[in-house]
Amino acid sequence: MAVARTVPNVRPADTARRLTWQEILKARWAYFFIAPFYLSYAIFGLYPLLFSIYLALSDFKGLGTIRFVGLDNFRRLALDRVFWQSMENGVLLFILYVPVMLFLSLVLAVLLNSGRVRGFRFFRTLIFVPYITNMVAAGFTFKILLAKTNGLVNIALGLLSIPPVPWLEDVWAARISLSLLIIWAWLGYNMVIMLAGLQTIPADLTEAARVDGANSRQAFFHVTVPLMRPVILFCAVMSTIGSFGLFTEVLTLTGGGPMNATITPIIRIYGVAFGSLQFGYASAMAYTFAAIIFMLTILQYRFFGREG
Amino acid sequence: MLHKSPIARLAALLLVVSILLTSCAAPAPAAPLVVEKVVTQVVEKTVVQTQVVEKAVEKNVVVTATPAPAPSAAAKPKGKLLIWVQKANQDVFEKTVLNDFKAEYPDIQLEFVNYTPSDVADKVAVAIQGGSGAPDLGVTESASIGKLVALGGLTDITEQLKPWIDQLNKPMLNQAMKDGKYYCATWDIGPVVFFYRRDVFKAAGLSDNPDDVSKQVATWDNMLDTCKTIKDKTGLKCFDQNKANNTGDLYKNMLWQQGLGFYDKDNKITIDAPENVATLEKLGEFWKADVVSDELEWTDNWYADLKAPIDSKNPKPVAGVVIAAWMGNFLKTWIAGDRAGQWGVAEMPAYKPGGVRSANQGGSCFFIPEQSTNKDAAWAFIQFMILRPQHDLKLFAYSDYFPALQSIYSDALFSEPDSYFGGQVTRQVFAKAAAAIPEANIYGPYGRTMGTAVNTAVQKYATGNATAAQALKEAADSVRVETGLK
Repeated sequence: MAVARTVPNVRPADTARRLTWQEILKARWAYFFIAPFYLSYAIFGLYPLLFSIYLALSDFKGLGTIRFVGLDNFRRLALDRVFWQSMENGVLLFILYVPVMLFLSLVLAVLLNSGRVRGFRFFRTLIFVPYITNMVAAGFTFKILLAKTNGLVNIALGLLSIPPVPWLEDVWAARISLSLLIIWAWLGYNMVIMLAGLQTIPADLTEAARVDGANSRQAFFHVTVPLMRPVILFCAVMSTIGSFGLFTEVLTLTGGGPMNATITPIIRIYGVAFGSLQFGYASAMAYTFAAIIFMLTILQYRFFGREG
Repeated sequence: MLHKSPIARLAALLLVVSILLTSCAAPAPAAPLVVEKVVTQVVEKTVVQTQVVEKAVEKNVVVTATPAPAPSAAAKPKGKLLIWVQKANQDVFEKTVLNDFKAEYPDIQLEFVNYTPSDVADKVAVAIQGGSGAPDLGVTESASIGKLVALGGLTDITEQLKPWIDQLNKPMLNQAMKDGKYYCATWDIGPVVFFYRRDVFKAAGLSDNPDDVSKQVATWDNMLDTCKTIKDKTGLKCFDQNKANNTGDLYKNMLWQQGLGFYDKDNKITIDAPENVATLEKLGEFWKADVVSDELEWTDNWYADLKAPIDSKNPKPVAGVVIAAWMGNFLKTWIAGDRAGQWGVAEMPAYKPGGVRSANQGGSCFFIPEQSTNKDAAWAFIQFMILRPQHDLKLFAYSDYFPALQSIYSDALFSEPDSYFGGQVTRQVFAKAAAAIPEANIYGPYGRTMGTAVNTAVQKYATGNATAAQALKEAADSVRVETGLK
């Protein structure tokens, strides 16, 4: 007896056969439902992306004609010391805060996941709260706390007979201050991601290590950390992109100073685009920046990722 | 399944149509926002008037300038007028002549939206580029107007401004001039003077008489000697000049008084010109002599230095500050209100003997975007507020924003002694400085970009990270790359 089978409208993923118009017509309502997203993306995502490629090759001041200049903007970019300083700042900030932040968030996640902490939900929320705090308010608050004269931090240091530190007036101190703000703001976010990752690791593996004679530290470094590698890599990649893309934190705490020590590529691009009205040059800068970040991401996955 | 349901099909169709209509619709005018922006600059501070100043408002002022003709009833503009202005300025209008404006123009409905002056310029620039969203009238700082003038999109007000062009401060009016046309009516300017602490000068064995002090600090070299004397005799510093986060204001004032700037008449960058380098090195002598304090301007510590009593150990008072005339009101009210009688005003030091003893720092102007839907009402507001001498005097008497309308300087208000400044007739000093402001290319279309780069150069030089020549060369190269200018 023949068995009636429903042939699915959607073609199997492993078939290389081209869709026929009839099949597309049959699935027209599916396409209709996914159309809003793609239309919106085309208008607000794809079109600006393509237009700014054109701008990157042009001279445009926001009004008037768009004059094609070829690679002139990229040639200017090669000589732009402030832009390359901002890229260097991105690397320095990455080194200053990412390892510390990832390590702290992993340790906190492990502690909270251990089951030995009472009020686990309370502490998780408490550590997460800075992430949802308004960054402008946080930045200004840090600025007041870190003021050289009469800032709370220096007052506290003064009680310990430590001379006042120029937190926002020294090049390296300003970078460290910015790193402290970022760690404070993003620790909770990374911790929550690590916590989610930890909860996918079977407890048996850590127990097995303990049975084999490993202490807590050995179990952490030789079992937990390797298994958490994909999550740590994800956080590291996001932090890399984040460290180059800092905007609000820098604008409120240091303004990019002192002496461009904390300026980031995004701030530079913003200043060139909306301060100097050099939209073409800013577009060239943005594409160069995006290309560099893309390459860094690929390198990170190559060196630190592992095959799935 | 879904494609068989007519309700689902209808819902999907409505969704897609609504998204398309939203994407294609003309942008609605921005809903009015009353946004108070918190900035580190002083302009957001509330201006509170002293009794002495309020008395002047009520006096019958004798005006010698030609009054503007009142519009005939038939010609009176009407309709809505959207004005972008900072809160402090709106307060000035409201506390002085705004009700009179409403009485004279009952058919104009005013709507104020508060932004800082630099935000007004930035947001109007975006509106001009976007093709919509600009206000009917804006008030921005003279430092930012060059950007808008270069961009285009402002109404040419040359014809309307003609009766007053020769009465307004020319160097500042020219900040908004392009190809002989004017695009912004200057309200106030910032003639630079030397505010000094009388008690500090006396403690150093120096005369505190303003004329004597003006002679004492006739040049920057004389100022340096005076600072050394003050430091030797009292241990106090002369003024505040932070190194690492220097605002660059004093350096720019020193350039301005020499008629120098960041670019020349051919738009060639002069940031690293030998004269500019020499000027920075001149400022550097004050750091080398350790006669200036490291507090940053517009911070609580700076205010504390300005208002500290003579015998205070922490904070220690400074001998003065070289800054624009509008600082006088700030000192009187919210910075050093309890130091009445202990401040005086002298002329700014000249760069060389016989040189100009004035520069400009700040100032603001009114402009009308091309997108304005009520240009007549906008011009009526401008003319009423700042071009009628009686009203300009009232604004000045209340706010101490030094007026650009020079024809009113002969008014009796300018001859009144100021008890805060020990009975000195300070407005005469301000007026003399205003008349002496030279032309200089400090502001302009790229004023903010150049200013930021120069600030970084000053910081690098002050902290010993570069020589003056190196720091300014780096700044100049950065500006050349960023702006495309040579």
